[in-house]
Amino acid sequence: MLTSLLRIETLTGQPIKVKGTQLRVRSQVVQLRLPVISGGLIWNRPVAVLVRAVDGRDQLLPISDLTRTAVLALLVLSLAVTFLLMLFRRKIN
Amino acid sequence: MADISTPSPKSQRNQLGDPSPAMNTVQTTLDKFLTAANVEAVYGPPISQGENMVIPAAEVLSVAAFGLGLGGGSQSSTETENTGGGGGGGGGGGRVLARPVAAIIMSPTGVRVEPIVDVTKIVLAVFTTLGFMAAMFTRMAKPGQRLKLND
Repeated sequence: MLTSLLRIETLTGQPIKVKGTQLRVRSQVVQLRLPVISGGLIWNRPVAVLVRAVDGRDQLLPISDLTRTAVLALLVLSLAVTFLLMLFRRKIN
Repeated sequence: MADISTPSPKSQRNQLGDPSPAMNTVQTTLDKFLTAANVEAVYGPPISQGENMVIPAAEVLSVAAFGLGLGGGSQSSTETENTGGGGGGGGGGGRVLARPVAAIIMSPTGVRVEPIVDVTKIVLAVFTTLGFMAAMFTRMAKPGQRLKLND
């Protein structure tokens, strides 16, 4: 039941060959289907690039989302400051 | 002799309106919606610039919902004929959001991933965080001031 409602999978694209180097892009898809009405949510984001060099060496380059990391860091910071303020106020009282 | 005939299932379907065009529209829209789950939706086509090649990568968030309803009824107005009516309707909505995340750059020196930073979003988040912290600080400082006034 839950697997039909929520599906998370990693997809790999077709190889792109440029001057002997092969690139394969990867993305992660989160699919959420609404149970009552037809429709849902699809969240697709880039994850990594698999590079195969001319000499056959494989290299996995992760794709990091700096904007999301920064926004999440700010969220954690605000929550931490709030928690510390509450703790500090409780100690004073 | 009165000919009392009951409507065939086909004629009933015609009275209610053929649901197939609406269903086709919904199906087509859902198919388009599901294309957001492909790798091609995230990575753009490679762009060559001199000796370099760039593949843009973006995050895609797609939300959609649809609903359809059909109904009908029949009434015998006279002994000889049946009258009926029906109707149907549907509605839906959706939104697709895309945000650039990184660019994959392939140069003669090698392949590298350059992140794309949304400065506006980060600055807005900084101001929101500062505002939230200031509001919390003010709210926590107020009861102490009231206590001093009461003393």
